Amino acid sequence: MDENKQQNQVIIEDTDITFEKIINDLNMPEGLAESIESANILLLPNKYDLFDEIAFPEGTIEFFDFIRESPDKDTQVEILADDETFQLLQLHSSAVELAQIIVLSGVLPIALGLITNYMYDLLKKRNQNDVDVKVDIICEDKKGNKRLKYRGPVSGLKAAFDEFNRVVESNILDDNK
Amino acid sequence: MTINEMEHYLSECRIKLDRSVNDEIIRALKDAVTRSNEEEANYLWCLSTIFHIQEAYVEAFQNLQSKNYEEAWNLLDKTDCMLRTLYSQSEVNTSIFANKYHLEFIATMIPRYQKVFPYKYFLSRGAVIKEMHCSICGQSIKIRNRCKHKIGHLYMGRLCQRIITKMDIKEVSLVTNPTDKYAIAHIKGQEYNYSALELLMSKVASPYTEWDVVIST
Repeated sequence: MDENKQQNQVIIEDTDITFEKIINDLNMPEGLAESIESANILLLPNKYDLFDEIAFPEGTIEFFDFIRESPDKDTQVEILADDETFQLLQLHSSAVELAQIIVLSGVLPIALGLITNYMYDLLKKRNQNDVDVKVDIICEDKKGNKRLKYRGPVSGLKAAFDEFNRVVESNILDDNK
Repeated sequence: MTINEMEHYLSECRIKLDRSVNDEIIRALKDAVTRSNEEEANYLWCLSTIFHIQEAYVEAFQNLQSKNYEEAWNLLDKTDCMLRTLYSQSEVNTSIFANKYHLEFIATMIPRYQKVFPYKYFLSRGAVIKEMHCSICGQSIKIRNRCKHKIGHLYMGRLCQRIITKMDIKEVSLVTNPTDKYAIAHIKGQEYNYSALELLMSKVASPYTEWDVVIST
């Protein structure tokens, strides 16, 4: 599955996916309910239909540690997995796929900043100038939920995130009128 | 051999590396571990890695000269992997290494050589990793219960890696830009055309000769 050198793709859409729906639909890891339900940034496993597997993309442990160790006190980061169910999918593509994330709108700017920092940190470690990345982020807000699907180079992330932030903010403002 | 002498040895552009120098580095590393001097042990790990980078790069060039193209390709990939590993650890400041040990030059030249190879398609596996262990302490790596060792970091002169002990291979794909460049696709009954590499190698005298290539359509 070659996902490299793909066209820069930005999709921002409405979604009915919420924290509650995810938690109800999937098997909640035993003993983790309280921690996961109180999260405002939650990493989700991806469903790989081709392999009939639910797994996290390679690098998720490092990504989870990176955002969890963020000094920001407003973030409560969790991952929808326990030790028994957690597994990684290794695609051996040079592109980077991040685990799907759902965040509450109050911490969206922080979450986007953490993703950006993680990617630039990764580029630095790899001694690369750019790499293709796949990001899928859902922002939950009581006024409506938005989803960003981005596939393209890291260098295009900032513009995509700025646009997503703008759409989420205008959605909240519109509903306030 | 002192650390200064090791540094001096690695700072010169050599077309053949003396493995006894790396033996000296490893001996000094073990000595640093015995003295619990982690900073020195980690630094010596870097020097040993630099030795292997230079050695693999020079061997790749020699294999190109000998027309062992696939071996040369694999050695260039190995060199690239070791360079990334060296730069990804954060215990030792590698910024001074780039020019002092010609690593920037090597990093620049690897993709230039790779560009001249005829390999365009590779095999890439998709696999689900079910079980892995820490290379430092051997503990099983779980998402919630893990040792404190972090992948890519140095601990007393040893690099933390993941040892995969259980995985399911799900598929093999044909790709053009793989992580593992060694998995070259071969078509039965057909040989790759290495004429561009032959022409290049007739012009380049040393692995430390700089050149560039422009591919026009």
